[in-house]
Amino acid sequence: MSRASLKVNGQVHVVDVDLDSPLLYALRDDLALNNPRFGCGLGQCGACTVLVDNRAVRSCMLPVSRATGKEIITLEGLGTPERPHPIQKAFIDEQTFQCGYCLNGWVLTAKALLDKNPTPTDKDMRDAFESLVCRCGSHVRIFAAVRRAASDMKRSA
Amino acid sequence: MAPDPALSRREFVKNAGGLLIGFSVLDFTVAPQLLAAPLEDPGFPSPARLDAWLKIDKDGAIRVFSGKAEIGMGVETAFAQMVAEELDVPVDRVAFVLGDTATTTDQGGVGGSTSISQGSKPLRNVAATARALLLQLAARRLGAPVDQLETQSGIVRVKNNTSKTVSYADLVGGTDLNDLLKVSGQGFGLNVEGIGRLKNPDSYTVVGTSVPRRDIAPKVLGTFRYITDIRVPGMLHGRVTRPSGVGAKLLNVNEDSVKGIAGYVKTVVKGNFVGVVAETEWAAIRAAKALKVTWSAPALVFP
Ligand code: FES
Ligand code: FES
Repeated sequence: MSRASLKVNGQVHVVDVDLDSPLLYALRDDLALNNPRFGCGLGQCGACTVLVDNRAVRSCMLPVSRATGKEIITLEGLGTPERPHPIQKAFIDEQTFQCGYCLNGWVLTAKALLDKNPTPTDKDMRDAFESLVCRCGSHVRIFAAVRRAASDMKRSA
Repeated sequence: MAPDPALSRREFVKNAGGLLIGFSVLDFTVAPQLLAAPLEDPGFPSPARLDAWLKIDKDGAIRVFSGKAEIGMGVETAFAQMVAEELDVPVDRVAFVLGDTATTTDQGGVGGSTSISQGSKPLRNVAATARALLLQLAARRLGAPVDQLETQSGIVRVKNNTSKTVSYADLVGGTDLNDLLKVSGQGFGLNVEGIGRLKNPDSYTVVGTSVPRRDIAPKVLGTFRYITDIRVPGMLHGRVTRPSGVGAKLLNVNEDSVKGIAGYVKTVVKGNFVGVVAETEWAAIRAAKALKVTWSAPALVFP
């Protein structure tokens, strides 16, 4: 075990972990952040997604040693129930998701996409969402939510 | 790691002794007292009592208790619509306790898409019966026969005389609204019937309309807690070690192969089951992978 300092959602936390341990377990088990979720543990589904320096990254594949000194954002850090992020608001307005277990990956990947490309085409979305998995098949509403978020954010910009 | 104390639920401590499963409006952190309590069977509340299913609080809030659980199919929202319909209350006034085995009847859990088709039947009958009982109470209070009364939005009033009204809250005022129900079936098929008659679907005003799902906003905002988010003090983590195919028999486990892993606690072997237990999730994953297990040749290898 070693001490690692992780900056998550704007706050620095010192955790006692194996530096080879994937970031996912440090976030969930040491920092009690529930939204990075274990789906496959193999980098294939995206349920564990976090933003690392504004890029959507699979935390089940990223060792803690490579996350220190970076700006990590989880779904918890996006918005609050009182002040939801416009992307969260759009996903709620579209009543997206069935079980919602996958949503962490879609919402954070949408954030990374819209930050870089505020007016994505459907093709841009498909490319960005390439290896995200939703077993419930919420895809049509996910695309509707991202389109809505893009237009809401353009209007308020 | 310390559980979030803000999430402990005193209500559960009061009902201690039961094993808590399922989730809904309830939070997930199990109170330490509950864990310490022996896991004796607390007994499910009897389905023959109306108040095992439904309570009307002093402020008119409706609490419904169901052995079904919300796991992403939207049942809580659909149940709320059905109860609101038969009881004639606004849908947002209906709150649920779902899947808590200490406080809800045994509806057999959830499965096979039967929560709406079967699991909602007793809830609708209970709501209709509660409405019938409220009408009887109101008849006495308002001095008018039941057939001269109508209900809307949590209020009973005399037809053609809008000044004569009484709210459900005033009628029960936090005391028990109760009656004995006729029970039939069990598990998924559990049903109860009382004096209430279900509405004719032609007169529906809530069922059939679209209301927002109750679980979506908390999920998107990251406040919803899934079963995998349960944390209890001193919790250990486990992982299962499996053979490469179906029908392999366990020949040998070499526990020494994982003893050096920091946080490793023990290997559990039972018949052909092999699992490891560790202090952290990562240690459990590493141990499950590193454990040297010898299996007989499987009858069928996974693709
Ligand atoms: S859990 Fe990380 S990609 Fe599936
Ligand atoms: S909503 Fe269930 S997996 Fe996507």
